Amino acid sequence: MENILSIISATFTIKIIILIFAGSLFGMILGAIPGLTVTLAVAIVIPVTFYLNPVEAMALLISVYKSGIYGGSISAILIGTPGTPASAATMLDGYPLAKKGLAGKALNMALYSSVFADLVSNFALILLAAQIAKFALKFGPAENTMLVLFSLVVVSLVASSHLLKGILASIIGLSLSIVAMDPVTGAARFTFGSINVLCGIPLIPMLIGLFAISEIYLEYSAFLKQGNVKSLVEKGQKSILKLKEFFKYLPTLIKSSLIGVFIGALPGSGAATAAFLSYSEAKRSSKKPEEFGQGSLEGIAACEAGNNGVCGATLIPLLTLGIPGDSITAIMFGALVLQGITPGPLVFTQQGRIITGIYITLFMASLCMLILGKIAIKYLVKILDVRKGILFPVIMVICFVGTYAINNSMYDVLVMLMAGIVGYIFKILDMPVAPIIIGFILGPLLETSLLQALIVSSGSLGIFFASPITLVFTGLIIITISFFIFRGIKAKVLKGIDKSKK
Amino acid sequence: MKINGLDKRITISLSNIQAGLILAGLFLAAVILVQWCVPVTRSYLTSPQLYPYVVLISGTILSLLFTYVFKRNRYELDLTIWPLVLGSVLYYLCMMFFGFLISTFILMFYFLFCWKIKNKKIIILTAILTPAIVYLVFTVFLRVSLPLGRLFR
Repeated sequence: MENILSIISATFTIKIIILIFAGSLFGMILGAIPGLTVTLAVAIVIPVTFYLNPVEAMALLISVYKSGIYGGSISAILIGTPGTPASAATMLDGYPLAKKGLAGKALNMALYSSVFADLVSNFALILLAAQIAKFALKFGPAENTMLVLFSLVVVSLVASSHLLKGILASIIGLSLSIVAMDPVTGAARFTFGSINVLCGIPLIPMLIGLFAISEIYLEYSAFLKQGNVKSLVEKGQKSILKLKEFFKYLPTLIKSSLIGVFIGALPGSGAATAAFLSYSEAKRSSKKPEEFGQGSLEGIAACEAGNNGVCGATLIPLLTLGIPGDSITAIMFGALVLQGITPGPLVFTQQGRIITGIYITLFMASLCMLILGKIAIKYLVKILDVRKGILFPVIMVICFVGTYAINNSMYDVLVMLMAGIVGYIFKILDMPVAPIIIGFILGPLLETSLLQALIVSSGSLGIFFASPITLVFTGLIIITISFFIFRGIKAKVLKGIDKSKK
Repeated sequence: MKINGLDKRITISLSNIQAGLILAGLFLAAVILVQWCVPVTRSYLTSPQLYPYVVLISGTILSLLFTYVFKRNRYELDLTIWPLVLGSVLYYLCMMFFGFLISTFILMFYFLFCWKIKNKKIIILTAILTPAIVYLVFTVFLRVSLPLGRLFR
C-alpha cells in the first residue's frame, strides 16, 4: 500500500499534469481536423519523448491517443467528415443530429460516452490484462482469419444500405491491399517495378483522400448547386444533454465499452472495427433501430463507447505480451524500447513501478479529456465555424501538408489526390467508403492468417471449422448475414402488401 | 454527358449497370494481369497468386451481381467541380516545382476564387496567413520539413 502511495505521489507531478493536458489538447485538435489522424498525432510527439522518463513518455502518448480518438467525433458530428476512421460510425448519427440543430447534445453524448468507455477500458486493463491476453494468445491463424471475415461482414452490413454494396466495397479494399509484397514469399505483386508501392499503397494518404478530399469535392458540388452557405458547422451547439438522457443508454454504453475492450485486446483489430461492431450490436438490440442513421443518440453512445473502449485495452497485448495491436501501439512499443524497456510479461515483475505509473496516467488522461472536452469544444467549434469558402481551401492545404509530412514524399500526395477523386465518384454512386478502408487495413492480416492456416492444415479448409473459437465466428457470420437477408425479404414483402392494399 | 444551359452544370448520367460493368472490367483485367504481375512458386499454398485470384475473382462476380441487382439505379456525376480538381492537381505540380510557400500562396487565391470569396481583405489575409501559420507549425514546432521545390533545391 505504501509502495502504491509512493508511486501515486511520484506520478502526480506538475510536469506529468502539464504533459497530459498538452497531449490531450494536441490530440483533440489533430483528431478533430479531417485528414490528420491519431497515428500521425502520436507519431509527431515521439521525438518529445526522448527527453522524458518512461512514465512521462507514456502519459504524453496515451493522452494524445485517447483525446485524438475522441477528437475525431467533433468534426464527424459538426461537418460530417470523420476526423479519424474510428469516428466514421459516429458520423452516421452525429451529423444528422447536428443538421436537426442538436449538435450540442451529440457532442456531449460523444464526450461522456468516450470518457465512460475510457474508464471501463482502464479498469479492464488493470483487472483483466493477463486473462484476456491469455485468451487472445489462443488465436491462431484460423481464428484470426475468421475474426477478420466476421469484422468485414459486420462492417459491410453496417456501413452500407445494401449487403451487396458493402461486401463489394470490402472486396475493393482487399484488392487494393494486394498491391504490395507477398507476405509469405516477399514477391512483388502489381508493383510494375515501382519502389514506392513495394510496401503497399500508403494507408494514411488513402484515408485522407477518401474521407477529406472527396468530401471537399462533394461540398463544392453542393455549394455550386445551392450557392454560398455561410457556416460549415451545423447550428444548435447549445442544446444540452441531460444526465437522465445519458444514463438512459447505460446498458448500450456498458455493452459497447466491453466490445471495445474485447476488440482492443485482440491484435490487429482497431478502434474503427470496435465502433462499427458496437454500432451494429446497438442497432440490433435497440428498441428503436429505425432511428439509427437518422440521428440517434444511442448510435453515438455505442460508437464512441466502442472506439474509446479500445484505448486502454490495446495496451493489454502490448504490455503483457509485447504484441502491438495496431499502428498506434506499435509507435508506443517503439517509444518504450527507446526508453530501454522491452514490453512483455517480465515488465510486470521487473518494472512494476512503471506499470503502476502508466495505470495512474491512464486515469489522469481520461479525467483531462473530460475537462478539456467540455472547455475546448466551444473553441474547436470556432475553428470549424468559418465560412466554407475559407475553411475548405485551408483544410485542403493541411491535407496536402499532413500527407507530405508522413514520409516527406510527393508520391503520397499523389495517392491522396487519386483517392480523393475515386472517393468522390464512389460517394456519388452511393458506394460506402468505410468498408473499402477497413478491407484495405484488414487485408494483410486476412491474407497472412489465411495462408498460414492453409499451410498448417496442408491445404485443408477443415481448419476453419476445427476449433470452438472458429466455430463461434462461423456461426456469427452465418447468423449476421441470414438476419440481414431475412430482414430485407421481410421489408420487401411488407412493401408488396402495402402496394397491393393501395 | 450533358450541359444544362440554365445553371451551366456539366453532368454525366451513369447507371449502376455501367458502373458495375466498369468495376467488373477492372477486376477482370486484374485477374488476367495476375499471371504477369505476380510470380509463381511451386507450391500452390505458398503461391503469391492464390490470394489475389480468390479476391479478384470474387470481386468480378460481385460486380456482375451488382449490375443485375441495382440495374434500375442511375446517378448524376457532377463534373462542374472540375476547377477545384484542376486546382488540386495544379497545387500538387506547383508544390513539386516551386515548393510549399510559393505554391500555397498562389493557389490559395485560386481556391478562394473557386469558392467565390469576394472580400479582398479576407482573400489576401488567408493567402498570406495560411502558408505562414502552416509553415511555422510544421517546420518550427514539429520540425517537419515541407517541400522545397525542385527549383530551389
